[in-house]
Amino acid sequence: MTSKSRPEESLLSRHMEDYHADTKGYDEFWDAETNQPRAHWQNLVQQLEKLPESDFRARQQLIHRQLQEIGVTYSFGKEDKSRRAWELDAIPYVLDQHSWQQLNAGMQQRAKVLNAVFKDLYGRRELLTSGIIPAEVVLNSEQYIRPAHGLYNHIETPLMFYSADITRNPDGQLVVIRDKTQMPTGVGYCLENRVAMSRVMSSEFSSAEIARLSGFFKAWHGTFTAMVPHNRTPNIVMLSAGASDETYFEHAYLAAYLGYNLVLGADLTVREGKVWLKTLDGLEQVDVILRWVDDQACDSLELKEDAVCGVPGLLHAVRQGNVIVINPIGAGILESPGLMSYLPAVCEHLFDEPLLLPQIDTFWCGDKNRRHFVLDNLQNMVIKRADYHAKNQYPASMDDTKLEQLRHKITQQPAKYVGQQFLEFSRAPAWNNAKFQAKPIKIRSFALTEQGSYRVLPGALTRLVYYQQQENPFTGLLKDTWVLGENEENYSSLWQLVGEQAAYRGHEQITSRTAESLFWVGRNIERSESQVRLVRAILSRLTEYSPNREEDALAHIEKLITGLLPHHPQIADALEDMAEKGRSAYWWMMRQFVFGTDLNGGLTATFGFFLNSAFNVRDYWSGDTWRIIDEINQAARRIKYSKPTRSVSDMQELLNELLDSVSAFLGHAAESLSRDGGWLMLEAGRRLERAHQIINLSEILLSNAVDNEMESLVLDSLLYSQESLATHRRRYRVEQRMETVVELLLLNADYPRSLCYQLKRLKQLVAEMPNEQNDSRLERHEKMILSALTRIQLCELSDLVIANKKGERNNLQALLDDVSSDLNDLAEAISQIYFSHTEGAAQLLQGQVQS
Amino acid sequence: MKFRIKHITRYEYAEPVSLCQNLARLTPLTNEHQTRQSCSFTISPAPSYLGEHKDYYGNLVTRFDIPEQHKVLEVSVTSEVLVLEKPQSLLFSFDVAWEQVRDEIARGLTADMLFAKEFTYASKFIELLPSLKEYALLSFKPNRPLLDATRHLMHRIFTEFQYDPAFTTLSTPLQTVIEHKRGVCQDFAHLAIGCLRSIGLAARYVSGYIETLPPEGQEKLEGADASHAWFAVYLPGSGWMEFDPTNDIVPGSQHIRLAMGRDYFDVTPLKGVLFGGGSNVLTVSVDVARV
Repeated sequence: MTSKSRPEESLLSRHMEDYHADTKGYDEFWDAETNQPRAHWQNLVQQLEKLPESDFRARQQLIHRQLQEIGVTYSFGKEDKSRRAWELDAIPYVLDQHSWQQLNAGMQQRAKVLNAVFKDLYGRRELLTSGIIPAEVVLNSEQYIRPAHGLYNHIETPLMFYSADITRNPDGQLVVIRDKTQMPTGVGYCLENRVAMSRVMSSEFSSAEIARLSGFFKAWHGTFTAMVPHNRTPNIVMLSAGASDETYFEHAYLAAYLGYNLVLGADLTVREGKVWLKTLDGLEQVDVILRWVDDQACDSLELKEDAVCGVPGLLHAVRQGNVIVINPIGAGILESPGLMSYLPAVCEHLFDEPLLLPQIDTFWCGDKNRRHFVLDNLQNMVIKRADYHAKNQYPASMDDTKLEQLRHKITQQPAKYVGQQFLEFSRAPAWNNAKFQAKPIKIRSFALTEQGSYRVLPGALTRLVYYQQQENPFTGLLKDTWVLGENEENYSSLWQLVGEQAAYRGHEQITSRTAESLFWVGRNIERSESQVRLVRAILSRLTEYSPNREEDALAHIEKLITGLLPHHPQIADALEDMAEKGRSAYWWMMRQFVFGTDLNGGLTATFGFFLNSAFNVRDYWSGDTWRIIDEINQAARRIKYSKPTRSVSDMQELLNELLDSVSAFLGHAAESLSRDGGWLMLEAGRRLERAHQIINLSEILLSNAVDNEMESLVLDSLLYSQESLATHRRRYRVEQRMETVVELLLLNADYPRSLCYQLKRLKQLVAEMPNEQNDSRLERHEKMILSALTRIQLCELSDLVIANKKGERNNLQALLDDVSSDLNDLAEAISQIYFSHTEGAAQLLQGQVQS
Repeated sequence: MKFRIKHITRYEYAEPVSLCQNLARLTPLTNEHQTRQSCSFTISPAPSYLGEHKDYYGNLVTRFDIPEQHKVLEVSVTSEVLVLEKPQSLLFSFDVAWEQVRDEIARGLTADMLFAKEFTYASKFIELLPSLKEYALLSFKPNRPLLDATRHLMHRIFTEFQYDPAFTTLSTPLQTVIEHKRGVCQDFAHLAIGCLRSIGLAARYVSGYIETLPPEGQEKLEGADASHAWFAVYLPGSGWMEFDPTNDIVPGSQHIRLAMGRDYFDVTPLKGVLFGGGSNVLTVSVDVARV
């Protein structure tokens, strides 16, 4: 901590007044009786007392920047409200040792009970025949997946993960308010929060005995590996709904951390009752699927027919014992509020013990007595759907008409509703809107099965709840959760684990989808770069007046502008419509191109494509690479949100920043990406795009001959936009001429910016791509690149520069056309051979029974 | 009575299909009404994978994949089934009042009763509309014996509803069927089931075949039979009692059972997921012959 010359007031002393404004609920932090913070907060308070507010704010900023860098707050396109980023509070939530022990034991027990319920409901159903749980709660619920019945009898603990939302009641007692049994949503945020906090609050961290999280994640991997009986390394994948899912960041983060392949449904296919991953090298069998899609969405063949994010046939593969899905399909029934109301009785019945951790009072209205209780106490209740979590209803805030309607609904279909006692959540301190405030919180705790019992994460994801009505998953303010007490675990860093995990993965499997995304990352980054360079060339032309040849100079600028967006109707129309073509009109156009957000193919759009394709394979990038991608994002956003009226030098400045970050990305990618199939695809995309860009500009600028004076200008623009002026000067030591420029930019086999060089690289890359044929016959993509390269290698420089009487360079034009068409075929062939064609699955038409 | 059933389902696609994965419920049941003596599938193109399992309701499901590019899929199933004669008169000797059955199901906790209970709830194709209850109560007068009332309900559906294959499709909601009083066997079965469930009784959907006889003096046409559907109601102690509202008869020796479930969705004879295909044409031909 830096010491300041002038003492500054600390955070706490300045803001305690704000804190005491909220007096509802149990105060986690302040003990009103002793009028001081509770004992387990004292250590943190002492640390914070020493901290000037400005330092504290700086740390909060640092956290924000870290989250942004790793992509938590990623957004580029239209601000998407559903993916609104959350923030991490620099003030953690502190849990004392006694409470932790209670939480730990309670979570273990509850996981054990729910696992037993799961096994019973999908097996013998003794809980229903004994009347402990009313049959209707289960059998009339859409969450009960009938095709999964009988699948789990042979598994001891099918419920691999269990999570729960917990708060404290006004007496300070920990209370379970909701069970989460399909997937451990939030556990990745928990990990990521801890990593961020341990960096920013390192001194506070080391001064307190805070339980470490690494043991939990080690156990996680151990449990997964032990599930697959054979000797080879199990193939474990994480199934996500993709970048459109609001928790996609978490999936990508965890997959990268644990070393699992992150896949979408379309990356998997079921053949012969087994699940296969589509990779560049062909199909590879999958042993374990950690799924982040709902039960019903897992299999459009046997479950919900219109589900697109699952894998058709998955359930049958589970039935055949060929794959393990975690959590098991059908676990959603355990989340139903209707079932929750019977859990205390279930625990007594099955284990002869009470629930160690109390749960929020929950009443299923299908039961007559409970219904009456709910209706009699409606004002103190929260009304929920019995079978799944939907929008809650709060009778306390309803007018008489609404209340009557609700009463009527409950009376009409009582089995569909559950009443839960309204509970004032406990309050914990938060740094919120530059105030130190008491805010209601929910703690999400996670448990994982390990050798037949459960292990609880000694930490949690604590969420600030602005209104208790709010059900949004992870928006707003999150907190790291510090469990105080002696640390049983040996020191092992969270990052140490990553290295170990990565070693579990035998070789890098590149899915066909990842390959495709990386190909587009390559194409789009190259396209972005060449657009920026061309824009800079145009801007510099626009600033040079040529009083003698103004008309020709303007025609040249117009050509360059066309080069930005070849065959683009919007540009063509705009150029056509300009009443007065002049520098000011072109200025206007360039500003549109750079700053306009509605122009297809404009700079913002091109960068958007790049960023989206990079985000689609978020798990592929290392932390550093993503940080650089985020720098591109920031640079592009600065352009997107700056005023289009900025001066030329400002524009140049912004473009240079952008170019710097692009170069940093390319340099870093070349250095750090392993030379696997993914890199091949990225590089192939880049080379292909650069070849197209050279062809495109050469065609526009060189296919018609102009007089000497103009030619010098044209060649200068071309070399400038290809960043080749200096090279040309060095190599040829003469003023640029048609011959030298064509030789350098098109035919030179060793110059990294020439067309010939791109084709040579492509040929090497294509040769390195996995090939099923072992004989010497060439595949289509190999033929295409051979053809393109040969055309360039066989042509004569003198033929290319010749123009006919009309000034047309037909030979050059023909060559460029032919190469361009070969390259299009090449791209098509690569796509056919290597990318997964993720057309949606359709349902077989069903005949009506017609007698 | 022994039958040989030939059931051919054929899909012709406009575009090639690169992969299809299917579930067939085309193997006749063996139960108290009938014995399956043989059943064989011929699938073209030949599937790379063919598996079988029993579903939640005890139906035999055939699961197959065709990963080979094709434009025509043909699934042909030939089965031989021995249908047992059941004395019809016995069925109507029960005089248990329907309310008593309703209450018994509501209270019951045995595995059998639980299984019956599942058929008292709404299901994918059968929403428990107030209009169904109204319609049901006209037959289910207080204290009327369950089977008598059910037969009455069946008879009313038969007389008041018109058989009209042009009117409904698979997705026609029950409300429309009830408003226009038109439909096919599947609609009538769903309707009757909905009526029974809406008053707390357990009713299930049965898919299968019915033997049709040509008009006198004419030869029977090949492929002219069809899939059929009817319903069954649960009577504790006696089991599931079947009724065919399309023909106003209690199924006897001419009905052959394929599968049963809550509604059509649970027993769809052939369903699948496919990649490619474009528009397609479906033809089904069924032959039921005595042997």
